[in-house]
Amino acid sequence: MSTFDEERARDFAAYEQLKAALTEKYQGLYVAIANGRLIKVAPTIEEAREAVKQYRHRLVFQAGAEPVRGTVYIRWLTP
Amino acid sequence: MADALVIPGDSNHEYHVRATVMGFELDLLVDTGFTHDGCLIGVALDEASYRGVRSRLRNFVDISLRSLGPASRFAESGIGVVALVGLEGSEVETRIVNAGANLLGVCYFHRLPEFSILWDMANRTMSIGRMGSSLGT
Repeated sequence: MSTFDEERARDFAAYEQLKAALTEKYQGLYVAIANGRLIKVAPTIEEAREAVKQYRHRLVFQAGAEPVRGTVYIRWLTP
Repeated sequence: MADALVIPGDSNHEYHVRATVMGFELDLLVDTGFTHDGCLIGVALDEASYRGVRSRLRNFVDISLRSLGPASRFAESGIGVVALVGLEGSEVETRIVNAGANLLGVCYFHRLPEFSILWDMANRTMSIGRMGSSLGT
């Protein structure tokens, strides 16, 4: 079974491969990548998010925007 | 507009500051535990505040959030402009994340390289201003 970090690496590798095409074809729409492949392109972020909610790691972003690498740490926030 | 701003600690020893987030004035808690390894995210907002400013943000991206435990969750973020009320030159373009609390993080301050912060322990105040300003640095 893959680790979270491996899943993240796969998803970002897929993003790098798809980046130019996503920006060209889907500018302004919302994109979901998981399991190392493009899963959904949708008019709203909610629809894109819904399509990949079962995946532990996923990238959901507006085509043309750069997905954010790394993790935001909020020490005291309840998980 | 002043060239320095004093942020007093409150009775809980917390430091709150008034800030504008895409023109909306909000109270943000200064939180040095709120960071991002790429330093792209400077502000967190609670759900209601985030919904209030969302239409003015751009480039939406879900980002991974982690707290004290090993588990992470995803939260939406968008790019916007944040400034401290009354402090000249404090406008910063940063990512703003919908993370359940109104926080001003380390990566907001790191986008102000011409500024410094003086933390006066005796008087329990933080002062932020341009280096060489009335802050005295």
